[in-house]
Amino acid sequence: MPKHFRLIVGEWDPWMNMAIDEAVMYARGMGAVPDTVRLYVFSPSAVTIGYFQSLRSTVNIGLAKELGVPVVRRVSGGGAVYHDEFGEVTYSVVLPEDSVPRDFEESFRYLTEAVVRAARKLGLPADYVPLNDVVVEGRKISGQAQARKRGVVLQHGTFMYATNIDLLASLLTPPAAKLAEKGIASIKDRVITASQYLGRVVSKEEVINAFIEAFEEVLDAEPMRGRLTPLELDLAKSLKWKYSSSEWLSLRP
Amino acid sequence: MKEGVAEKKVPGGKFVRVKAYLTNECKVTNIVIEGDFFAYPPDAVDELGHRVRGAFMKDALSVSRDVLKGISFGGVDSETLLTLIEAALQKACGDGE
Repeated sequence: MPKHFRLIVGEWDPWMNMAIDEAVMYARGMGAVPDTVRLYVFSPSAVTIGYFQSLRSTVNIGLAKELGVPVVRRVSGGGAVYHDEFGEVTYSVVLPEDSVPRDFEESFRYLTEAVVRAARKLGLPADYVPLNDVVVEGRKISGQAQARKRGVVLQHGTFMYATNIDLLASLLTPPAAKLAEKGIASIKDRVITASQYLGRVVSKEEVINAFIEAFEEVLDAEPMRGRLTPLELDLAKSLKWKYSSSEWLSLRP
Repeated sequence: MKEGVAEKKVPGGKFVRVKAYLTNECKVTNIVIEGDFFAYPPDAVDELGHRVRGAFMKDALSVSRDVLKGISFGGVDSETLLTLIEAALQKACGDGE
């Protein structure tokens, strides 16, 4: 019998997106839902920061407030991401922990293969760079993060197809030591979008289709279009309260 | 109140900053670990701050070592974190007691 995974595609607000990812992780841990891939857009555009990151050190909070760009702390580690409503697709994949390699780098390599393949389907010479990046000729086009709870792994990541890089560079404030190691002056020199590299307008639909095919290959399973269960929606609505709270956002001020 | 900060960009890894907060008598009130690294379980990293509360430097280091043993890290390792914790404590209080 062929294997399947549930595929959910859509757009939600930033707090709900993070709440849904966590809710699916809990529901999968209870065995209430199948393995799931979600492809989604942040509406409105938002910044997410890693669980362990300092808010003030990572984001230009004044500019985010001025522009009305929400900032949300994730349940996963990793770095800050600008999710451009009109230029970025986020994916999340939720699987039992024992179906991915135990080692950090190996598990990232395994699941990030879907991002590399999706990028290559679009015509980009993409490669995985440990620990959690996908680059095109040395410039980052995608970053991934993971969380693990109740025997389940959640990996979510960004794919920039037409992100406003100037805005991204203004909103995110990486430590100087990080830029120095990469030998660059600005985050702008380190990132690239699919449209920029290919010299044409890449659409959201192209990206979503490439990701669906890539996950089908990597998970060796067929996608089945699905929706969130009432249990997941209830859980997500409760968790949204956490993601919207200033206490959670300022966990590390 | 005294405060010490130590940070490092792990070569080929992640950025980590440790903030140590101590009383004027050099008793730890909190140790906060920040950065773009990964850790499971993440709550255990927060728990470290509670476990060291009230300890002097030497004990705080020994408690930190115990807590870190139970955490899997990605992009940083526990030895690097211990070195940073020690450096942050020393910046705040010299050699401690």
